[in-house]
Parts: sequence; C-alpha cells; structure tokens
Amino acid sequence: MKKESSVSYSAIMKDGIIYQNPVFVTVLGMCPVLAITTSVMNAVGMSVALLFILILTNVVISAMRKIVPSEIRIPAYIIMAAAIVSCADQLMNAFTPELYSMLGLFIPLIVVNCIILGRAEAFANKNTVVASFFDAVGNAVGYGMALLVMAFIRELVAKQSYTFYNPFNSTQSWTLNLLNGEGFLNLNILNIDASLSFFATPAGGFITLSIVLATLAAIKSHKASKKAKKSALVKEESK
Amino acid sequence: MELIAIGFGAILVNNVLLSQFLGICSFMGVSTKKSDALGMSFAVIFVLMLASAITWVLYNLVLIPAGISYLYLIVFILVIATLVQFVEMVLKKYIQGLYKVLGIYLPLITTNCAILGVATSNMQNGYDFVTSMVYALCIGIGYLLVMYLFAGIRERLATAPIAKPFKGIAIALLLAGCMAMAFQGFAGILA
Amino acid sequence: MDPKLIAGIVIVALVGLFVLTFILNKKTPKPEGCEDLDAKCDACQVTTCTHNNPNKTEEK
Repeated sequence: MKKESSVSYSAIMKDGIIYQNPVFVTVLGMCPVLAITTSVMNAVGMSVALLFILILTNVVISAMRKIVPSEIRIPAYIIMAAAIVSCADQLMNAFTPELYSMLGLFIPLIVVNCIILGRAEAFANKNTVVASFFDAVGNAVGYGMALLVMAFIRELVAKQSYTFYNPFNSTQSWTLNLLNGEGFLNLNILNIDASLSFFATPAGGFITLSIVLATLAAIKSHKASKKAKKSALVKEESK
Repeated sequence: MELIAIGFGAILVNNVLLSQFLGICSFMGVSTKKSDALGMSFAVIFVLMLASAITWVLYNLVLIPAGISYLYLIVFILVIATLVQFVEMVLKKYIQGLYKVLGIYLPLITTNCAILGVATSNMQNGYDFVTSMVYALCIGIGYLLVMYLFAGIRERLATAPIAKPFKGIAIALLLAGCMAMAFQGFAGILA
Repeated sequence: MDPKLIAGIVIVALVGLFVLTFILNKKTPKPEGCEDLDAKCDACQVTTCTHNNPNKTEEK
C-alpha cells in the first residue's frame, strides 16, 4: 500500500489520533496504559516521553530508509530504537528523577512497545521524513489522549484529587481536591469521602480500560446504526 | 528463606501479568485457546531463563567492571533479540519436533515486555545469579498459571451470550480484572 | 582498558552477532510440514515476524 506524499499532513495526524488510535482502535502497547495511569501526572510524563521518542525514531528511520538494506531492516530498527530510548532513559533519570522513579520499568520498556516498531514498519520506511514526523505526532498524541482519559478516571475515583508536580523540581507540587481535603485548590463540592481506592489497584486498571473500550464500542455501534437508518430512509424516499 | 519468598511472590503476589502488567499484548492476543496459551508460556519460560542468565552474566561481569552500566538497555535488547533468533534457528535445524510446537510463538517473544522487564528487574534489584534464575523461573510459572486459567475461561466465553459493546477485548479485560482481584488476595500470604 | 573502548567493542560485537543470527535464521528453511504454520503475530501486530508467508507480507 503506497501512500503518496501528497496526502495531507492533517489527515495523517487525524489517522493517528482518532481513526487508528493506537490504544482504542488497534489495541497496541497496552502495558503502560494499565500500569502508568494511576495518576494524571504519570500519564502526562509517559506521553511526553513517548512523543519525543516516537518522533525521533520515525524521523531517523524515515531518513535512513533508502540506505538500510531491506533484509536487515528489522534489526536496524530495533538497534536505532534501543539507542534512542537509552538516551531518553538516562536523560529522564538525570533531569526528572521523581517522575522517572514513578514510571519505573516502563521507560526502558518503550523500546519493545509495539507502537515504535509498528509505526516504523508500517509508515516510516515508506514515507518521507516530514510525513513520518506528522504520523509520529498523531500517534503519540492519540496514545497520550488515551492515557489521559484512563488516568483522569482512575485518579478521580481513587483519590478524588489530582496531584501535579513540577517534573524538574519535584518539591513544587499542587493538589487539586474535588470532594474533601486540603490542597492547592479545594473545590470541596461535597464534604464526603467517596473514594474507591480499588481503582488505583491493578484490577481497577483492567476494569477501567474494559469499561472505556465498551463505552467507545457502544458509541460507535450507535452511530453506525443511526447512519444505517438514515441511509435506509433516504433510499425509501428516493424510490 | 528469602529465595522462597521471592519465588513465591513472583508467582502469586507480584504476578507478572496481573500485578506488574508485563506481557499484556500476548496475554490478550494468544489466550483464546488453551493449547496456544500453553505453547506461548513454555516458549516464554524457556527464553526467559536463558535471557536472564545471559544478561546477568553480561551485566555483572562485563558492564559493571568496565564502568559502562548505562548501556544496559542496548545490551539487554540485543541479547534478547539475538537469543530469540538463535533459538529459532537451532530448533529449525536440530529439534524439529519442538519447532512445530513452540516455533510459532518465538517471534512474539522479542517484543514481549516480560522478558526485558524481568532482565531489568534483576538488574535494578541487584539479585545474584541464583536469585535471578529463581525469580525468572517463578515469573515464568506465574505467566503459565495465569495464561492457562485465562484461556480456559475465554474458551467458555466465546460461546456465551455477552452484551454487544463488551464483545472482544473489553470482556477479556473485565475477566482479567476479576482475576487480578483474586490474585490481590494473595498479598498477605507471606507477611 | 579505556571504558569507552570496551563499550564500543561490546556494542559492535553484539550488533554483529544479532545481524548474523538474524540473516542465518532467515536463510534456514523451515522443516517439512511446517510451511503452513502461521505465527500468531496479528494479535500484537508484531512486525518482526519471520514466519509470514511471502504472499501475506506483500499484501500490506
């Protein structure tokens, strides 16, 4: 399937964000989605890391697509991805130590994240550098959005508050409290403790993702049935 | 004994799939039939033990003494990828029977988070050689246990009446959540 | 010895070994009776599959 470089860049990005969203549509790279999303700060940190890494790998692989012999392209991709993630891993360890210790194993595990190799094989080695850049941005933004949705739900239900901190200087932190408690911004809508800390546990992660996927599937099928009804009506009228 | 605690913990308490979230892609993808699950698990155990051994040796006897331990990620991933290719080649040439059974799962193992995750855990926890081999073996056993149970239930789910939005991955995830809940109950066993 | 030199040697050796085993593996034919086995690569969309039938990979 050859993609002409005249395909608009915004279409490529939309593909990554909505139509082929890596988490909700093609269900790739699920390990961090379940593990990292216990807090929004972690989700944001992971998405930003993935954005940079994905852009770099896509651009580098696309730039070298004519030089690398086709038989050894898979090893070449793995080696390039490993080098880039290694750099990112060391940089994060140095500059954002708190975030790095929260994300734990999952930064080095970006190397084997199906998205990196998947986009390299499916897109970057057949398209120009600029197109690959936009594809990387689209996919990373889509992934980030999925992570954010999950983390938004989980942290809200489990802790009733959102805690953010400056990744470069973890002593500056702000806590946004919604139901009860003390923090930077206390909305304190109701003074009750309705937190279900179950959602911060691994089981909660599985169940949240299951519900989110089911909701999206229900919305999709509802839209599809509405469209089918509309086109049936149109056919009736044109008869 | 600490070995027993680490080993037992790796199988039940910190189960690789339900607690550490490593190897989820294969968990969802290869668990629709019990035979697939068994094949995949044995391939994982095999590669996991070999990879843990080789990465431990390389990390502790080459990288640390030379002061280049920051290269661990590149070295580990290269070792794992090379190992998978090597094992596949050896099976194709010399042990065809085993290749027929395990061969189709080997390509999935290079990008399986579990292998790289266990190698990195061994490094981060500073286990010695015997401990890391025991840990790797028990992680593999935990993987086998959960995959087999999951596949058994999923086989039954395939013919059960399920609400339409949940068909496919969503119901599998819900099931995994219930199993994770059950396994969380093991947390106090070793206290 | 200079750590950077050792690092260079280790990496080059491992990369060479990987590429070598990859090419050798690709050249080794599957034993008879195995040509039709399909690796379960679709679930994870693993692209490093060496099992795909040549017809199937061209389809992408």
